[in-house]
Amino acid sequence: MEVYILGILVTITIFALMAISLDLLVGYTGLFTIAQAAMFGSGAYASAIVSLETGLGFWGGAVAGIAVGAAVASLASIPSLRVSGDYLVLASFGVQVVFHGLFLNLDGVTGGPAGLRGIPRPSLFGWSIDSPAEYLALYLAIAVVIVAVLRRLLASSFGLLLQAVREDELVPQALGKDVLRLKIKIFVLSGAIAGLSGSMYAHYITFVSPESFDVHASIFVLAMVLVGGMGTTWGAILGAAILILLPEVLRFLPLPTMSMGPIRQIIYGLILIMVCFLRPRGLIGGRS
Amino acid sequence: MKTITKLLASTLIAGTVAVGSTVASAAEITVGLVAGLSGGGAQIGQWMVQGAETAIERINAQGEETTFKLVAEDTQWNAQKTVEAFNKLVSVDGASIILVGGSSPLQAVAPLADQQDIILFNIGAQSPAVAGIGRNVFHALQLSDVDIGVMAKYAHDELGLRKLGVMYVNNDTGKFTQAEFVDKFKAAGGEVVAQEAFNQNDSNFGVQLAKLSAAKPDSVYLVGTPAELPFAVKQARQIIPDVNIVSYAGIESQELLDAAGDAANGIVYSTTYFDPKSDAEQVRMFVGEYMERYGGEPVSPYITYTYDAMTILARALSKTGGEAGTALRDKILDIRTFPVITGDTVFRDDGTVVKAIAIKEIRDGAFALRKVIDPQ
Amino acid sequence: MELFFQLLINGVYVGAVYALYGLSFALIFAPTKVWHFAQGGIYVLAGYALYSFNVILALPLWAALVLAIALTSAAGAGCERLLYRPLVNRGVSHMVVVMASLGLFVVIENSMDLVFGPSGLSLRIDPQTPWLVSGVVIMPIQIIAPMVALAITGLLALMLYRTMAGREFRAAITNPELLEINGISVSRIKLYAFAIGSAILPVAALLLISGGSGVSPTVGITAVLTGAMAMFLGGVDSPLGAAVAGFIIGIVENLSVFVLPTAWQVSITYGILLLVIMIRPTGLFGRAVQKATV
Repeated sequence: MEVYILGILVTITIFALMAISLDLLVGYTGLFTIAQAAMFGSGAYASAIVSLETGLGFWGGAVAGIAVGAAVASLASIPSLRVSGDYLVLASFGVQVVFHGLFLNLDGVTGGPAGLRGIPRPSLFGWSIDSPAEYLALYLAIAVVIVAVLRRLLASSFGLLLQAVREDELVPQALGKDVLRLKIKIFVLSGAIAGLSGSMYAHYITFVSPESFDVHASIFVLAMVLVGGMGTTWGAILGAAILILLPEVLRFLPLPTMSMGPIRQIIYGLILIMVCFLRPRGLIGGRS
Repeated sequence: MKTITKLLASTLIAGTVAVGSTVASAAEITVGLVAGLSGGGAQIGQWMVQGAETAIERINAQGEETTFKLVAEDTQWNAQKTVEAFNKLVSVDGASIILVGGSSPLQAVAPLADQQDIILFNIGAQSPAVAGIGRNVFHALQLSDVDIGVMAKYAHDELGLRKLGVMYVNNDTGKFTQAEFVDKFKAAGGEVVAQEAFNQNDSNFGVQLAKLSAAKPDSVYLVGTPAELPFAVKQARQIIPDVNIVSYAGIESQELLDAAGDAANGIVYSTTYFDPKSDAEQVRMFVGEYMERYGGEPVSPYITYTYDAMTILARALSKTGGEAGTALRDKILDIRTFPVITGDTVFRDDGTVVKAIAIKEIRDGAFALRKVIDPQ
Repeated sequence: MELFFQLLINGVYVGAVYALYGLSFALIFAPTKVWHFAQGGIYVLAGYALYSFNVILALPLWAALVLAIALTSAAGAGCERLLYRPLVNRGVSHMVVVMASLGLFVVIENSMDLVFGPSGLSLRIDPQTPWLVSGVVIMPIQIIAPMVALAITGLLALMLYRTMAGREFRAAITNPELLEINGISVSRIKLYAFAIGSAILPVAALLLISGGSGVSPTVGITAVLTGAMAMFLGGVDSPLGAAVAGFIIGIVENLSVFVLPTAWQVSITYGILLLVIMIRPTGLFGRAVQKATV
């Protein structure tokens, strides 16, 4: 039982980081996008490829993941500089689909639909990370550091500026702030964190394949941010925890095996709707 | 916040209580099954469950010392979800054996199974990439390099096909299946003039068929999931009517016959040899039990793989006195040959098997046998 | 050369279906501004409605279509009345409505899977005999579909521009407050938008199915995303623009394969869409757009 629970906690840690990265865009800056899985996936693949080709292991892979995630995000930021609101959603969706297509079709690089396997597990000063408990310790440490740095950053004038842009772009512009640079910066930051969480994912599952990084995954992360509460780091973490725990809890419902799959999905959808009615500002009550 | 917290807390508590009651009793072995049970390709997962449930009911009714309990988990054919399902089945349900469907899922959990001394049974993955990926991995069916190669040769030598077009679903199974067929068809002396991919859940294949038609093939090799395959067949018959259609085991199902209708007639395909009309006692029992449980004939080969896997496991476990793990693994290799409903299963040292392949044809809305090709 | 025409014909055919997707999505989005992801679920429901009436109840196809239209229209209206209206009245944010819509989408699709099973199912339609015109295979439906799509678009254009109700509808798109001030119920217009928009879906489904396809539970997401794409390409406040854009997307998607491997088809289509949006954010026919102010 412990192994199972620890495994879930590791998954929550990874997705919490990804949710936080999306919240930077959606919650803090008001940039509604559904391309997070593209950055997550790019980071995962980059990390996998680098560690498989060069033998640099998790740490080298993580650097690659951060770099590639940031690069993809800067690409994804381009539409946001031209359009906003609903158009941005569609544009980000387009980016998501294009990247998923790359993961699926660039056989030589990504292994195509078969994916990449045998991704090395992390090792710390010669100590190999094997069990969920060890993974949790390492990943939690990484996450804590990232969150601490972020919170410091968001509490500063940078964070205030983001929120000003969210409320009304014209105001900071009128005050002479370079909103364009700001948007690019926040995308790059978001992409870097998403890429890092992708790398962590790759080295935990030790296997990456395109179906983990499609539009459904992006929507999944978006749901985490909304359910938890936008514009608060704790909201993103809570949202990740709940949306990952929910299907796990549903496993324990005694259901006939044949219809179990669709029934769980239905319950999942109903709970999402319920949250929209009962706690529309998210469980933590972030900004609406 | 408070209401939600209470709701969550009570659900978790209820869940934990339920867990307590799912732990197996002493002589009971929990077998896990991980496959896609919702979303795309869910039909295949359901067939797998059916085979396992039918087998377990029979085995438990025999009154042996070791009884079985099946716990299935939905992975939607996703590697990450498979890992999580594996963890849950092993560490919560106490499963010591897991039946795994899907090449990517199998590759994701094979290292974990070796680590934790869990026995894995491949019940549907045919990618050559899964050969030898784990000490504890056994296969209930042959990998694609066996039966697809046989089909390609048959298509060239006995059906006289020379110019092949391929239409396949752009997922793991589709890609390696068609790649293997193309390879072997060329090796047999044939020519491949077009290879067109479509996406899962596509319903219109005009683009692919247009390109295929332009290449003027005399035959088309089709690979797809149960959601698209019948429609691909129907449209192929409309747009390139005089062309032979050859396919793989996934085409063998009642659902396909119902949805494709007359368009399916004439399709030649390869599959593991299984004769539902056989007089062999094992087969008659299987067909009878399946019909009683599910009210129809067991057509899809995916039903037979899990049934066979359970038969093999039960036989080996009765000889190890109910001990799984390394003892079970060694015992399976020791016994080596198992007579099952799909003929004899003979394990190689790496857990892969070579089986008799049947070349079949869809004729007048039913599956007819053309030839049986024994393993070399 | 035959290949080019073969692809073109198929492009016009699927373009007709996409035009209907776009029309449907835009009719709903324009006056209500709701990202109706659940539209995908309603589309799946439309397919199974056709199946239930045509196969299970063994009704003739035209009767099944009429009944399916009635059912789907009611379902769409139900979404508005039971899900979106209460949420909007509570003043929830835009994205919460999207979330609820996604939740509903998951519920509907999986309910269909539960009831009808995950395999593809066919309707009782005789297979069509294709015509061979100088080496190009043309199926009758490939000619009928664009005509139907044009007819429906034309009908809606007439309604929008020649009737009082149509004028109110167009006003609701750009200036709902003015309508309210004049005592015209915008919420009633929204209901009609959902009802009419959803009513188009069984027609689109049947057009596609007649080409040798069928119903299955997982076709929803493609339908709704293609519809959304058509709407944005056409211009958010122009339902007719969405129809035209749908045709364009279908043709481009099919012709692109003339030079590229089919596996890249989807990526190319979205890539082109991205380019268009960047160059002309209003879409091809739209006027107002939420431009980034930078």
